[in-house]
Amino acid sequence: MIKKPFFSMGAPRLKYPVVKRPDPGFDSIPLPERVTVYIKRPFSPALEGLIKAGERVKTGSRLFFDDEGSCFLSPVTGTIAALDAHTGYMGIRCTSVTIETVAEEEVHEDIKALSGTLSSENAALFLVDLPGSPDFKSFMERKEPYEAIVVEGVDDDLLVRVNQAVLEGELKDVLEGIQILKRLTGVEQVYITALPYSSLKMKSGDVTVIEVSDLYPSALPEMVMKNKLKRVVPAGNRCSDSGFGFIKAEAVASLARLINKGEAPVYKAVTVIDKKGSARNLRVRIGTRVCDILTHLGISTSHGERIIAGGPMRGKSIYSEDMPVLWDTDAIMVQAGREITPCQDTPCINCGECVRACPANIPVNMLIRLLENRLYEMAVSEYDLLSCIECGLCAYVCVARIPLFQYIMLGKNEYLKLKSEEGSNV
Amino acid sequence: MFKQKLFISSHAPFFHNGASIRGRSFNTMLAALPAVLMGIYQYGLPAIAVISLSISSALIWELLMNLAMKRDISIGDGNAAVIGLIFSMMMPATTPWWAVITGTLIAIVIGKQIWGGIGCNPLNPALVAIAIITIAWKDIVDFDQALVDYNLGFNMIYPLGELKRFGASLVTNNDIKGLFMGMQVGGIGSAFGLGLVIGGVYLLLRGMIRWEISISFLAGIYLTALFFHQADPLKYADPLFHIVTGFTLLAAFFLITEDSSSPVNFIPMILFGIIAGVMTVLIRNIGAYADGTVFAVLLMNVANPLLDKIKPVALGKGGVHA
Repeated sequence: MIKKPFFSMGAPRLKYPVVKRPDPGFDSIPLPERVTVYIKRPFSPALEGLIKAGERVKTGSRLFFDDEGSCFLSPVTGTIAALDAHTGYMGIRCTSVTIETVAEEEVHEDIKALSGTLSSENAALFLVDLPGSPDFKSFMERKEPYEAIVVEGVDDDLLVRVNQAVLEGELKDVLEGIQILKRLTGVEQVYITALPYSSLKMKSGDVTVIEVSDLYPSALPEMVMKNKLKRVVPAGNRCSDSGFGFIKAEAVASLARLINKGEAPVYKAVTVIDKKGSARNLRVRIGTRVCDILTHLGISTSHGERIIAGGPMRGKSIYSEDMPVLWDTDAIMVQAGREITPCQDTPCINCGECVRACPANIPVNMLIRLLENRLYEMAVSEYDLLSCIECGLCAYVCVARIPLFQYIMLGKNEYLKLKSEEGSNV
Repeated sequence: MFKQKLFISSHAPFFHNGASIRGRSFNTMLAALPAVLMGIYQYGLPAIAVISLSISSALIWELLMNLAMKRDISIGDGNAAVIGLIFSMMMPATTPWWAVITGTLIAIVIGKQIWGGIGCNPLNPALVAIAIITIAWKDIVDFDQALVDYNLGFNMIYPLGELKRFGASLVTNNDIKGLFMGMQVGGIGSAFGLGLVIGGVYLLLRGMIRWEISISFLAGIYLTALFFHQADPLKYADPLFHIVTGFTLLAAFFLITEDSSSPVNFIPMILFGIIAGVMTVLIRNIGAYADGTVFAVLLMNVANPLLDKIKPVALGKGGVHA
């Protein structure tokens, strides 16, 4: 936990972690007995018809879960054991698919053949799931190619150092991946973000290194756009709407390994942060349950502690150790009970700390008054709800300990729901 | 099922910088201590009695209101204690017990709780109390009259009262340094300028109060008083005199900076402070009251919601780029 310094007048200064050089790389853990993944479709009989329990799958098999060709790549070789309903963040209804692994691994032949037949069309078919969860479809299916691609070599949360470590240790893969990306998408300009102390100091032809400040949240895409690329993303839009495709360094590296070496993209690098706050990097099979990782590392958990999938500022707390590492899980963090600051049900005291902390200049003190009263449309039109870049600093500094970030995310979600309902009624 | 570990699940962020309302209240009281201790040193036991009664009655009113309104007990956050302490700092040491209790009743009930408790009050609660007492029982806060039995070894005439009645040229207690060091008649905790500045700077550096408001308030007072003084030095006092007398320094660091009733954006904070400073000197120099601080700050409290509409352009708004 990073406390407020004794004397502090302005916004909090939280620094990104820096990987030690040479980076020790990623440890691995034994293949777990079973893996679980969540797919973004509600559990239904139709889905059970597509993914059948008892079916044998190979590593890299495409498992289709609707008629439009949406699929995921099986991260292991084994048998599908069970399908179940799962409710995700903001009440998104998902299905959990559990696969029991077998020891002898078989990589699906399509994966091995991919490098020979690589084209934009079949890339889009196979590159559905890369670690780091890039929105690959948007890369391939845009009418106009992106103006530029930004490879994120700095992780977007504190304590996490997955992409930094990839950039330090697997730079060759990243650079190869960039060439593949350029070939597939037709984008000319590629940037890599890196911290000032990174060993990456190059400007080779078309790859430009963007040095981002080590102060959180300067590595978030919107901040990189504003501060480094001098292009402000309009409120409510994503960076991709402005013509910039952001992709994690890890995704680029695994793309290169998939195409050049035929390695299925079934591993996810995670930073595991224990109760003392010390971090180590692991590379685990996608779908590995958190308990398998923690048991392997000898990190014990007990009643009243908190487990977080992701970093301390933007992660999502999970309620069970049986939940898995997925394509976008950059970290697993365990917090001891005494480190947990509970939220309080106090009204905003108007101290202005959040306004000072907000990198997007949102009047959070006014916004929260509207959000508490569910005035979501007014929150958007007058108090800049959609400008939020989701860094969590407002709730980090809140003196009244209001769950500001939660209110904001709820507000955004409700507003979008409201808009889509209006759209469908017209 | 029963052996299952239950983890604490909540929304991000999972870090917190440790700031709390209780800590803020505690630090505000700590910062007020130098000035309060000086008041106790000067006026002795009666000062302790007023301060103690004020804090304890404020807490009791808060508790009673919590019970009456069926809300969580909020005396633990220390805000009521802060209001009680600051109210007592503005009162003379001889304030009768019933006036103290009435004052805290006004502060806590009318100033704070009926609006919804902490954070919801549009006016500074302690100032609401002192304003009502000034109007209703003006003899109680007439420092000359209240402290007539004291002789502390310096000029025992309330400097701002003297200024109001006789003009700057006839003010007898005009030793700025002495005034700043607490050699003046006034409220228990409002006379010792140095102590207030020490406490105020402590709060500023710790980020507990917003420096923009304090500094612009003092600047507003200084500049306005300077104009008056230049126009007629015989009638209007030196700007520094205005800074070190009355409630000025108490207001700059403890009253005007009250969170709920002051703005948070940069330009509004500057405007808020400057206009409050200007109003203070206007009331002192051409208004009806000897010390205009109370009413100037209250007036600006009312303007706060309007001022805070001036806000910076949020990220992605404005439409200049992209």
